[in-house]
Amino acid sequence: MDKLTEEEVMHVAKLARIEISKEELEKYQVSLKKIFAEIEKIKEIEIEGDILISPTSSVCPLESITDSISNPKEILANANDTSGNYIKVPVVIDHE
Amino acid sequence: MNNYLKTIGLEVHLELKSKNKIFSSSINGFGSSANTLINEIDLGYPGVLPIMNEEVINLGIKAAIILNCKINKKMHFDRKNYFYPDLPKGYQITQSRTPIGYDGYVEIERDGEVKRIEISDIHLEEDTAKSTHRQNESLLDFNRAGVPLLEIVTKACIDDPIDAKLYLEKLKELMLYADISDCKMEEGSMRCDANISVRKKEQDKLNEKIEIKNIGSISNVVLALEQCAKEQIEMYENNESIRAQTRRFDDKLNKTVLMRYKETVNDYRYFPEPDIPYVYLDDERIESIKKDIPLLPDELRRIYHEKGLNDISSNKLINNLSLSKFFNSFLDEEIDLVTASNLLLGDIASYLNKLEITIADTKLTKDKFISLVNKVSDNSLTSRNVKDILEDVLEKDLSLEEIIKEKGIANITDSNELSDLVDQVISANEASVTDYLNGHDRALKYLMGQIMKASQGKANPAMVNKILIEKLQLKKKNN
Repeated sequence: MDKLTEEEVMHVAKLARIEISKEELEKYQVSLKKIFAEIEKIKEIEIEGDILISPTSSVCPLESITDSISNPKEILANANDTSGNYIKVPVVIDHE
Repeated sequence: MNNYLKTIGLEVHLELKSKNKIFSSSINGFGSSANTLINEIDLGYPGVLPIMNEEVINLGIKAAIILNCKINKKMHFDRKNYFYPDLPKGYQITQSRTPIGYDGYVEIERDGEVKRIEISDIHLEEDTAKSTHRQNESLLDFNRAGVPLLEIVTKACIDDPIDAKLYLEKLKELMLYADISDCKMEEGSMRCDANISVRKKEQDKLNEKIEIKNIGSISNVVLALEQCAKEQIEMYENNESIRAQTRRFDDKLNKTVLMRYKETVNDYRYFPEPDIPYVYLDDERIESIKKDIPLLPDELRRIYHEKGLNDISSNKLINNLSLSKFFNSFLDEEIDLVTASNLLLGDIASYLNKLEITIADTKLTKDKFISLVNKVSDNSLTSRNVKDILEDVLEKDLSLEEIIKEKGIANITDSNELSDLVDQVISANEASVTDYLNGHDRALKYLMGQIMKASQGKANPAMVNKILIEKLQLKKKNN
């Protein structure tokens, strides 16, 4: 099979929260399939041991971290919308 | 109803009592104004690097030891990907493949029988921001984002909602005593999700389960599970099928309400978190944490029993962490521990409850308490005396001796003096004495009262009682 099904592409789009048009859907059915095929190739490589890049562990030892208290004004300045000290976003639940 | 079996599993999230957040230097605190305990890491700004907080790891190890878990000595974190405004990074850093602890258990006791509730894994993760939903908007407070959580997952091994409750109570007790979490369900530092399926007794295969999210109290866990089981049984009896779903329990209506049907597990696309290096837990670290674990409730119950406390006092003490901690500091002292527990659970506890404070907020020192216990156990202070001086004992910086002197408490403990007092009262109350000799026990109480009155409350009641009974017995013999 050289392309993904429409459902597979729509599922990926849904997880990524992106809207795609009919033309894009057809395009991604082919191009995403190519990417997936590359991933399948990578999966064939047998690796042993560490899945993370272990050398970083030597430069970041376990450590107790110290206090910091933030200034809400500076932080809220970066938000699109605020209410008091809160960051305001569109409503995310359906009211019953 | 009775030909169905229940299968229950529990997931508990505990906020850990570390000073800082799990991956940032922000303070881990509850009750501050919104968005004051946050930094770029908690907000998930692009390009920031989370840093592993050692204190959180140590609390996780402590929990793993207490919950009898095996420990993953080389562990990493994973990204759990999903979209929600309370998680701006688009993923939660959690542990999927290498939970800090696995294959553990908690023992519960029911009707004298000990049962094991098996734990499949315990893992560390970050909490999300707290959302408050209004009619047309949602408000976010990131103080909670990055608060360390320990998720404790049982196997689906519980077959009775009461066992679920006993498990949660035990878990809470253990985590409180080990100082891992303050386990306040009302503040969200302990949260419980339960899942339950039912099946006919003759059926082996488990049916689809229903998850009940965020149950508000331990007693509601029982109600929610009972109710959810009833609803499922009704559906099967009506030949309806059940889809895996998430519900919530409405305790006012006593029913569960559908929230959503489950997405498939793979949608979270877990993969190893590359920003946090492997964490290696060596034996030295584990052993030193093990050594520092304080006495836990089961061990305390055994010690209290050995020291002569009855079950009621033991349980009352264990249910009051600060009183129990105070009491435990006297376990190796040469004092009457039964008297000590009675004092703590009686007058002292009512004083503390009235003012809504803990024993640490008072001026009661170790030495002062030892003197108090000794004076009560050798009868130099009566229970009346204790009531009279207690406020001063708890509120003033003075020693017990100074307080007794200041209050003018001078008890008559001289047996000759007491004997004279008893004689006087006996001769002045011949009618009552005759009543007593004729078998009316209440007359004894009256005579006691008269003696106490004659001494202006200063006679030692235990001694008076003994002398009075001796004298009356003598009279009985001579009659």
